[in-house]
Amino acid sequence: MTDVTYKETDVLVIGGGLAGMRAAIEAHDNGAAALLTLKGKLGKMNAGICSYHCAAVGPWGDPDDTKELHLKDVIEAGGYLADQELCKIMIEELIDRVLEFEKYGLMWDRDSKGKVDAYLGAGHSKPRTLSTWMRQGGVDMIHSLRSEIRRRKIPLIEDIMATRLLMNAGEVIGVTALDYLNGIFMCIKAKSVVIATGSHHQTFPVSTAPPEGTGDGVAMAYRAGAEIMNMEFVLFVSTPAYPRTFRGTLVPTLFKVGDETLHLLNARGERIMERYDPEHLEMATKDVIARSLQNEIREGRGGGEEGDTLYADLRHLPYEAARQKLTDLVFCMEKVGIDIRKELIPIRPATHETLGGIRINKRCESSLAGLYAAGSAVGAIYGNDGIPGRGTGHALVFGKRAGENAVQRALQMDMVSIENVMGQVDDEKKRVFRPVERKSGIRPIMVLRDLQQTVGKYFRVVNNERDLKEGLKEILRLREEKLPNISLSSNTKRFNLEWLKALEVENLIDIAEIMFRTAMMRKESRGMFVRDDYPERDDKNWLKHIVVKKQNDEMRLMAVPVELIHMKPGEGD
Amino acid sequence: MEEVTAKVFRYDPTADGAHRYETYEIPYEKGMRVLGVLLYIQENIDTSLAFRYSCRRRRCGSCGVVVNGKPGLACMEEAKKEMVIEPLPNLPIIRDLVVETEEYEERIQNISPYLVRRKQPEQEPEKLLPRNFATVRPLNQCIECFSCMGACPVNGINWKDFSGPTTLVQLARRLLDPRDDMDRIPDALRAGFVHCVACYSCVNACPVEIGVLEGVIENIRKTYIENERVGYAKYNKTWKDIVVENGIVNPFILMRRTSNINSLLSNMLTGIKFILKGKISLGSKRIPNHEEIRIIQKVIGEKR
Repeated sequence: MTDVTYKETDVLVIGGGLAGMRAAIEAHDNGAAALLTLKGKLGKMNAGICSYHCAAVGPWGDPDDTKELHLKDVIEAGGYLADQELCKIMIEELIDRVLEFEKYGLMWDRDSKGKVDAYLGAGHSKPRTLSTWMRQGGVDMIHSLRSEIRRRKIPLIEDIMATRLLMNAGEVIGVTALDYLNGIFMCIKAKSVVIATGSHHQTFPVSTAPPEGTGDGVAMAYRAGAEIMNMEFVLFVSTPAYPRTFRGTLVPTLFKVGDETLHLLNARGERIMERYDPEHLEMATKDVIARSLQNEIREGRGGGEEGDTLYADLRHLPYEAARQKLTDLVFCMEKVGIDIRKELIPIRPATHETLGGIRINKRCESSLAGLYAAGSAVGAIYGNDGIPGRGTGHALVFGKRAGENAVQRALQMDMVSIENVMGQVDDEKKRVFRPVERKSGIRPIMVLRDLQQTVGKYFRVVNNERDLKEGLKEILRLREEKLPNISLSSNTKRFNLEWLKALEVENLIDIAEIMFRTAMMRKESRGMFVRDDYPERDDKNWLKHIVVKKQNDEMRLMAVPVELIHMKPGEGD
Repeated sequence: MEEVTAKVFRYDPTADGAHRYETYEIPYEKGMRVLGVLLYIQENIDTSLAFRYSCRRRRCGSCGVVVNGKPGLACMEEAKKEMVIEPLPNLPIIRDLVVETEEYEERIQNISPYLVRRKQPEQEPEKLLPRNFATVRPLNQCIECFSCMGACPVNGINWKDFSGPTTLVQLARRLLDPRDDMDRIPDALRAGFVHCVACYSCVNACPVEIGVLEGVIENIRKTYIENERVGYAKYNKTWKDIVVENGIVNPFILMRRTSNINSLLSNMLTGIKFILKGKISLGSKRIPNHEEIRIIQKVIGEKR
């Protein structure tokens, strides 16, 4: 069997997006040896790059804006399922995270007088959303952090996937990983480990977020016994109907060009939102829009071959302004020959964001000693929906905190010997190499497709007990029947993406099981989470987080009451 | 177009003696991109095909490949009836379409690709006028996809004196940032910006439409000249003057006007050899119709 390559560091950061890079920078600046590992290339594989903006209360926008107002917006958008303590911290610290970017070489949009120009993001009560030229906020933030990693020459291992947390006496003391570029099994010893591996939208067939989001860190933490939460929450949006590679480009509904929004039309040319929310129309909340679109399709008013296509109408918008605001969408549509001034954009429903992840406290500690988490790998602290700038802000604030607190632990302790965990390393090596050594069986891509189709079919905008149960049954069947038979078409150990996929699909199956089980447990409807068998919001019984934990090889689900320390439902109105 | 044919470069350095091309037939989808072709192959025909991609909308710069001889992003390039899809050139192959870009990343690391300020602004956020950032803003769009590195003929001859267009874009991003205090010219010289042959290959290849020539190389050159690096500036100006005067550059005159006495003496022997072989002449020969050059110069002058 192949050898194991050993490495050691004070703080190991897994994941190279906004949260991971920010954590690595903080760990390095606080005097620890930091090591950043990621699946892919630095600054290229992450969801942050797809984002547009960040939001913070600061010396811009409306002078009457306050952090309290921002907090209220966030908590209300999240259906009162926000962790209010963490949200308050986030809003307090956002301003520093935003401003430090200008030290890193980014420039937030300025007006002609040179002042920072904030705009009103949907769901924000005041203009406090910041972006950069041509709405490239995400790209610029990622590039700025990458340049800071380069400035500090922080050690980096690209193209590796972490596979298992090594546990010694209840503490995390490192990870095992597969260097899939060279086919080498690695064991990285660390005093503290930060998981910043992003979300798990690859459980769904179509998503705006990039393909590497396979919940690796969350699944790994769950298997090691960490508490995870909010796994039942997913955000749905729509994206262009074709070609398939542009199906990841968001069609943003909640925006205005001047006083106008885009219009959503059905196959008959009727403006869809006039039927469902004549007051707000396309400015209705995301959940209302997602439900309306799904209903139009279900009632047969969709177009296209499958009857699942609706249309976005941008024809009435001033062209230049629309192009400036919707850079990606307009650019991609023009590439395929759609003139937005004359033609409709065919759109179909898609997934935008999965909100579940590791449960953290304000020090970014998970329930396992030595394990920290940040970014989308964290169960969304803002509840079950969010307002623009939530994801980036969350990643930056808690990325920094994770780095800082991971160092504090690392500097206080000696390196733990891995003698005791060699059994775990051997077991994991066997598991990781199994697919590449198996002679015949099912291709991982087939299992992934089955999984995505199951989740796409049974975990939708509107759910019910029957569908969820059916979906869960399918997922469990996949695990029983397909997973043990995965084999690869090529047994090369050199950049074998099928091998990677085999490991990812295992993570996704664990995640999907948790998603179905938690969604079945939450017997209510709230914001983007909708069940037609429990259509009402139930504040009496469900102002609760569903926390999941693996105990004695069983999945344990707990409903933990939300602590309403700053705001209670009804108070804000 | 119901089907497209893709001939795809395949190579596993750990197993294959040499690379090969495999041909695949793929059902065409309206608006199909090259990335769609690759994904179709990977999912339906040959699951072992290796390539990189991520964002699918020219934000990440992961999917740089060469399609029918032209470097670009797979997510943006249109699927053609017949395609040859190859990895970016001049780089070691990891597998199939995946290349080792470490060399390029090192070049970027070598030009200090970060903002350097001597002192921090007194108040944050500071006042920054968008018009002062007009030249630098488009350069921030560079996603380091290395399409331009693949297209650049000077980079193509693998000459270590030239760091290539991506490196120079990254350098110009800082050089043109009004906040940056570092003297970037020594790095620019080491990166060999003078060796750019101004062929526009990089400009044509850039998926985010960066004007590498006018926006980057010319601006580096301008900064260099403005900073009174007279040797180079003088050489540049003399070259232009001689072209205007004679329509052709006579190396002898160029040497005489730009070099000092020591340099002239040390090159005398070579010069004499050249004269004897008739390769250069002492007099100023003009090309026929050289009046036209004056007219061109006048027109360009007026346009500026």
